[in-house]
Amino acid sequence: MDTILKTNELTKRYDNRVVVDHLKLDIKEGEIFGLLGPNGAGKSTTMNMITGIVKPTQGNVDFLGKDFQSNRKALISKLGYIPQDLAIHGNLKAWENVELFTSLYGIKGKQLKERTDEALEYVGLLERRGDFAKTFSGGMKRRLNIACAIGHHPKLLIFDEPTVGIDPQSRNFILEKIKESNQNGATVIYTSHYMEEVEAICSRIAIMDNGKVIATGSSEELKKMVKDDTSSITLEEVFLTMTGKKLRDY
Amino acid sequence: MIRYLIKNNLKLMVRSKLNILLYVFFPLILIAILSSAFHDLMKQYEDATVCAGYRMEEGVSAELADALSEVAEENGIALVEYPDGDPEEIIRERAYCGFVIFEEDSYTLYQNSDENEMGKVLEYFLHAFYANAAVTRMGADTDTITLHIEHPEYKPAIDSTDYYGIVEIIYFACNSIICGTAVFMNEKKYGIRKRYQVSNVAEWKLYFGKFIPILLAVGIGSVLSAVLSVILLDVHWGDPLLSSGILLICAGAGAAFGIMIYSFFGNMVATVILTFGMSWVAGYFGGCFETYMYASHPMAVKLASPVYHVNRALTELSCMGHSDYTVSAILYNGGIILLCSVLAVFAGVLRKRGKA
Repeated sequence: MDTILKTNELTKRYDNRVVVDHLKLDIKEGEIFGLLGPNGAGKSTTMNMITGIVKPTQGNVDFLGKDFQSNRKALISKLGYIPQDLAIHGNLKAWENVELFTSLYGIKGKQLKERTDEALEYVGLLERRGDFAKTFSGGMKRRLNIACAIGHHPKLLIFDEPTVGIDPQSRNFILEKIKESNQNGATVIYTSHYMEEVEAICSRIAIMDNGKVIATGSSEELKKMVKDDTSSITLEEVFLTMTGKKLRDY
Repeated sequence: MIRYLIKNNLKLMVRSKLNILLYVFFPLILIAILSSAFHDLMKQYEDATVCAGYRMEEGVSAELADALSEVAEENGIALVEYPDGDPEEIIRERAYCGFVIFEEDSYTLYQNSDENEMGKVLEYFLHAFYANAAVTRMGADTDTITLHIEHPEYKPAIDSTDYYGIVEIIYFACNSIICGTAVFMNEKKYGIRKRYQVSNVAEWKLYFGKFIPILLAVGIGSVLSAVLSVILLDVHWGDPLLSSGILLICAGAGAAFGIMIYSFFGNMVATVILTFGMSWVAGYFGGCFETYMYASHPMAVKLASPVYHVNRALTELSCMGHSDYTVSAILYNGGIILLCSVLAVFAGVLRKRGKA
């Protein structure tokens, strides 16, 4: 598989504090790549640097074989970002939210209308297109949050904890849709604190701690790093063994 | 894409109940309160008549005394005769604007320093009367001589309802940035700004994606409020098109200034406090709380307030049908829009470069 995204010595420092430390990631086209790490490990900062929201102190991001910073204008529309926050306007209707955020990528007119409905149908909200977002349940808002980021048909989808605070049905729906997107050709980067989710959908997983990747591999490969008998260990145990049990945000 | 930004941001603004209250109904409530509270004050100026005392010394002809009384009455000047008494005491007791002692060929005028305007009218009247009397004595035909008492130009010809009806709607339009809080707060609270950062949208499009909806929402609200002020409170506005245009430019200046402050600080609370503070100062010197005609602020300070130009232009358009301040109101507020827009976009680009 070809590399779709690569981080080269990606570093972010705030004053003297190193948040991301010479990070090297290699995301292959067509995979679902999971990024795990305790709070403060540097996952969100990494995501923000990959999407161009935060400028790296050092290093760079190659996306589709080109330097992302210097080719940002051409490459940004190939990227879809689903933030952890519910980045939607409650006082706009579902279709208005999707239309607004899809239009940011230069899509307009009839095509915009079609893409809006397509995105809403994809997340199962087409019938509620005329309802205000503020009237939606937590799970529906999460789905709308996803619809707002896929209308422009990105090649790489970045999900930042998309299942926080929702019921099992909604979580299952979202995970199925992520797999469906992947089967339709999109590459996915997925961060979450839910180990079973990551294990269920990700083909490769990186565990981050203190701004560095401490292990990369499939779920099985990661388990083998800790214990030979992989059937008697969970991904969560692997994670805790590698990152320790000490609280990070006290 | 800017079309969709404008359209959806406008929807967010007009769907906010607070905005409807603030720009349509609050001005009407304030107009009713202020025009009623200041009615007596302005009425005092509107109905003011010149009242003065006088005394005829020996040697003054009876003809002159009769003519004086007659002409004074015709010109709305009430002269009350006091054969005795101290002029200064009479002025103090009766709150007259002056006291005149007529002698054979001259007169002495005592003026009340608290009633400068009325004193000047009385002084002018006496001067004109004596000039006419001199001409008459030289044999001119008295029928051809007319006496005009002109009121000073700064005397208002607008009542309190019209005045406050106009300036309060202007004042609310100045604070147009509050209309944008629905969008700004949401963007910050829910991380919507991130979506803009992960897109191709240019900073100037984001700026006008907010500036134009604020302008439209406040413009619609203010014009609606103005129409309601006409229907409900009988406020008289000047040329509707010109007045609406000036009102819109004023709202634009407030919006551009507010967005610029938000671009600098990225904090809505600080933006509202600073913008509101600035418009309060500009309004204070510009006649939003005290009629600009009677405010004792130096003219240079009044002219420095962009609100003064708008207030003056719109109230003069209302009562005179024209105003010398129309052009300055448009240029001053238009200049603010231009300058603040450039600085806001510049600050936005710098902020983005610092992060992305």
